[in-house]
Amino acid sequence: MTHWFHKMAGRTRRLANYTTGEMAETEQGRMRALLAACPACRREVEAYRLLFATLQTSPRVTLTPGEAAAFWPSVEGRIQQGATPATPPTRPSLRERFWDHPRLSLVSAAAAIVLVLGLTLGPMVGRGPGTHGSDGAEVISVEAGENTSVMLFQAPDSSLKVIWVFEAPSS
Amino acid sequence: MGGPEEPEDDWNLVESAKRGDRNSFGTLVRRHQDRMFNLAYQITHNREDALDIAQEAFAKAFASLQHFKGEASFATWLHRIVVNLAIDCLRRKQRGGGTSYDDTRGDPEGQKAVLFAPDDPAGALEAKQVRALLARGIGELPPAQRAVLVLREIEGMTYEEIARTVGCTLGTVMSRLFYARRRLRRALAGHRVDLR
Amino acid sequence: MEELLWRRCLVFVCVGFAVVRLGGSPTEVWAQEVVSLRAQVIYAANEPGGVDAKLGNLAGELQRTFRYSMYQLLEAPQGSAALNRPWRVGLPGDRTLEVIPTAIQGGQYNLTVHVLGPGGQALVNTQVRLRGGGPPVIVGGLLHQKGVLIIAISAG
Repeated sequence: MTHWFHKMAGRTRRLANYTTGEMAETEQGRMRALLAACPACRREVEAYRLLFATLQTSPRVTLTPGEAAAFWPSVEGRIQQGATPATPPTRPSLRERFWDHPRLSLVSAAAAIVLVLGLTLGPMVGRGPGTHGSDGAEVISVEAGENTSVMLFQAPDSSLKVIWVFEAPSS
Repeated sequence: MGGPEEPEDDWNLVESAKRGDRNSFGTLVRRHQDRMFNLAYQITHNREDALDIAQEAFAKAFASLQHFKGEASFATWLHRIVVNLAIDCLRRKQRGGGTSYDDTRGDPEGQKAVLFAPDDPAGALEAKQVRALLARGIGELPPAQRAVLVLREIEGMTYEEIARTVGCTLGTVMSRLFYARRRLRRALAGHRVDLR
Repeated sequence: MEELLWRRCLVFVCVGFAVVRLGGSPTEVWAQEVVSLRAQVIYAANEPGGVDAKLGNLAGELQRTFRYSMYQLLEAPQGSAALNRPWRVGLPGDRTLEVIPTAIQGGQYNLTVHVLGPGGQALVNTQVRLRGGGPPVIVGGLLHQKGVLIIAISAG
């Protein structure tokens, strides 16, 4: 059964916010009523609970006694070598900015579709019944020779385009 | 956000360090080294990198001490340096051919499955499986999303604190967190969740 | 991860398709370099002889266009030429037909056609555009014996 809530935009965000307690109180009551009626939504909330609980109970790592003892001397060594001041992180690569970004990658995909449609349909749109050369031959230009004249014609019930050359008769 | 000592102690130590008292800075380092190491490790999940990042962060903090005006706490300021260095490290590794997020390494004392009761071996096994799935999912997050996720879900920072630490807007923090959570949720997609 | 994966695949597929459309497939690239050409040299006159069966469908078109009583296929040379390279065919009466493909676009072939007299002088110069496999263009009226020559030029 597809609950109406499934069709709501931002469903994932709402479920995650409810699980983390970030949902406004006014919405929480409504959410509880919906969860009572939607097993799929309840499974989703439980999955988020498991996810957050696992993250929040991630084991904290500590320095070993040896590492702890050597830590400050190592920092001193770096200071003496001339550590540079703190700077903002390097700019994300194009891949991270566009490829890994959900919205921008979606925009890229949409732009690619538009490009393909334009390339595929464009020539077809431009080609209409009145456009010359689509089926028959088209004469673009004709030039007679020095001792000839030319005529261009097409018979009414024929598809042939004819370039007729009038030669001066040889004497 | 502060350690067991009062923030004023940090401030006094910073002021002493600014006047050239290196021992004061050493005290600051010893006070915050574990926390910064853990933060770097949670983002990179590589012990060697985390150690290098934490040490470098303190060295850079010393070099930038004159610019620290005390608008935020010293720990918050350090968080920012560590996070930036960790993101840089991840990006460098990505360009060099991928990062690994091996959940089985790093903690010499081994995993502590605290999700389930100690006398629940099946639960402990399940927790380990879930953690492995999440580790893989986190490893596939872009560096910026990974950093925000760690600061929120592991360090427990507020959105505002994360925004100040990472140096971005609140909206960007929420957006990155949303996408990171969704991707991790999908990483768990194959794991059966029992309704309670 | 799967959502981004299909988006990435979609972008790759679409960009690849776009490259092919813009740059042409390998087959199209080869075809652009060499154009198949054909000329049917026909002797038409008001003489007994009827219509040469070898003319095929062209016979009907010729009869609708002209009023000759006889159409005889003298020769039907075929060849190919690279873009901007001439394909030359000798014509009766020491004439020469020269066809130069100049462009191909969307199955349409642009040709420059010269008919040269015995001394190499131009009798007619024309530029035409033909659809590959479509109706030919006719160059006719060159005096031959008791009638004329009609040359049907096609491409592709």
